[in-house]
Amino acid sequence: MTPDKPNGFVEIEHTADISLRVWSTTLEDLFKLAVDGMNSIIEIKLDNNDPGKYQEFCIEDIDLESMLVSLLNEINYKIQQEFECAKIMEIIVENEKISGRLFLNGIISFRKEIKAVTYHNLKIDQSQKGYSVVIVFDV
Amino acid sequence: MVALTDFTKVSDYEWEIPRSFRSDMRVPVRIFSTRKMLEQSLSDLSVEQAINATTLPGVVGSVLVMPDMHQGYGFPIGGVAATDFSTGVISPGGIGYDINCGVRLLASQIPYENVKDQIHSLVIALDQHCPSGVGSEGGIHLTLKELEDICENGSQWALKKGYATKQDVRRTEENGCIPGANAKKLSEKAKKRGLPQLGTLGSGNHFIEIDLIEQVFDEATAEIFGLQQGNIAVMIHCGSRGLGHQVCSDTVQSFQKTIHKYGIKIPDRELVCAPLNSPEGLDYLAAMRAAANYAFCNRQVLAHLARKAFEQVLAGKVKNWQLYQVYDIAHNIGKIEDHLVDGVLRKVCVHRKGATRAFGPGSSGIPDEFSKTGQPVLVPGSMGTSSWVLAGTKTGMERSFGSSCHGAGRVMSRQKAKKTIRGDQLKIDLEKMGIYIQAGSMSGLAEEAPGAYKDVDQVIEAVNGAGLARKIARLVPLAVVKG
Repeated sequence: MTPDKPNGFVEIEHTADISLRVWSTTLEDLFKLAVDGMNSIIEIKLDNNDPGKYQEFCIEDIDLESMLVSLLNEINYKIQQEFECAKIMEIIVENEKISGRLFLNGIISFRKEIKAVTYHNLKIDQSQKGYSVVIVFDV
Repeated sequence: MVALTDFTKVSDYEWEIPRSFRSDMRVPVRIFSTRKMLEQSLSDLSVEQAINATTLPGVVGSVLVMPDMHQGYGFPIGGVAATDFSTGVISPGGIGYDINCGVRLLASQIPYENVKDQIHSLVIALDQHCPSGVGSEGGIHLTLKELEDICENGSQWALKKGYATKQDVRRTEENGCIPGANAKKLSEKAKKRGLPQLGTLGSGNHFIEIDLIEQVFDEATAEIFGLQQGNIAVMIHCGSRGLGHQVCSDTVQSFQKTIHKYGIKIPDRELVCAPLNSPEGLDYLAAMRAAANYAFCNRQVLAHLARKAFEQVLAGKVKNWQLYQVYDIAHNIGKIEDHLVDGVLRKVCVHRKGATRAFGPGSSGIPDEFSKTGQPVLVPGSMGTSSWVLAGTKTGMERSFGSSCHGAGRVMSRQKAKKTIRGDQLKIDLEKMGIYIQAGSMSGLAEEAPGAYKDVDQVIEAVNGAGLARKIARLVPLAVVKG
């Protein structure tokens, strides 16, 4: 957690790859901010002429960390393969399932290629202030 | 945290953390490094990551780390771990997301003096012919059947299509095709990502470089490799692009669910693994090999495009402008090999994560012409510094599962590099040094600045001193196309 803001994300030092610290008061916001943080690393230029579209999503996996990696990898795939940037508009987090609605916007360009979202030392921590996680991206 | 006092000094270039250091270690860690570079490495998590890798079931000998080591995810970059083929595991995180990221070197009979005024034109032509940058797509439009053919036959596909010579294929690790690849084990997403990207460089630390062979250390071996002091050469660094990334992501995700049924405990989830002889392990092996074959073919197509660029600029103006393959090697790979472990010949899966195969004289699996010299080991530098050609040794076969370093190794984070180095100024500074740069992104260029890397010459001193490989030639960059 950082003391000045209840929710946020910040890039932290990593020798070769990119490490992102995300924190929030709720699990739902943690997932939303992780997506926003990854999009920020990628430095996406949106197509402002694209009206965008909504898309439902549902991911089932063994734990919260696996669902987070799965969601981020899926969104990274959309960026690289379908040239679409996703933002979480609604999300319900359950023990072994996350579901909700994405807003997808067309992309003109992006600057950084993320190869993958890793599980390296990945643990969603809970404290009295809320939740936090450090995610390492292979670039 | 690990301290220098936790190491036992084996020699000036070899350091050990004994198995007793942590209760879950199955084998020791051996680091090939100078004392100075080892101290530097203690500032990040690379040593802890090597210790974590020793917990993998079936790991044999020692987990080895090369002097270009730095923190990765799961394994350290520069890590080598061999697991027993019958009782051990395979860990996709120990191979990496960019499966068969590797290096190809093309030599020439072109004296630098004859073309020094055309280096700028050459790098512009290379940039035009070889697609690079984020999301880059190639000019070859594959059908699904062709993609599957490439994944199962690697550089043989390129030979069939006229993108390769027989010598190119012969002078590629595994002849450009690892047997046992199965394209049916690739996900639909992996195939979709692979379709448009053949013959593309990608981004990050990938590059195509024109080099001058500045110094030759062993003329007889250099001649066999096709290297002559004063001539120019072309080095290509890239991998399996989105197809390989997807194979690793798919597997790391699915292994999280299956690891528990084998009762395997790991200290970091990125080390997730499956027994080599399990259905999951065999499926990954077949998919990983398919991605590796795609990467061999990708570098082959890029070599073809580099030749086109040279033809465009030099044909009719310079005699013998052709480019000849020296070798092509993988540095993110898992290979089934036979090695002596404690005096016993064992079949093992050698995970090389940011480490190059460096087979010595007399080894099987290297071209006949290198049987007396050992295979060429290609070590790219960092844009403004030297690159090296080494040769594998018998000592390397005995001490490092026939492995050596893969580059300079990062020492500064990308974040810090961007804060302290301006890409446009770096381009000017490099051009003042006589190194032309073609880069799509100035901030991307800053991230890859020479100052963000270790001194490659010190890395070479360490592998040479440890006897893992010996110096053959030193190359200096003349022009770089950055991905």
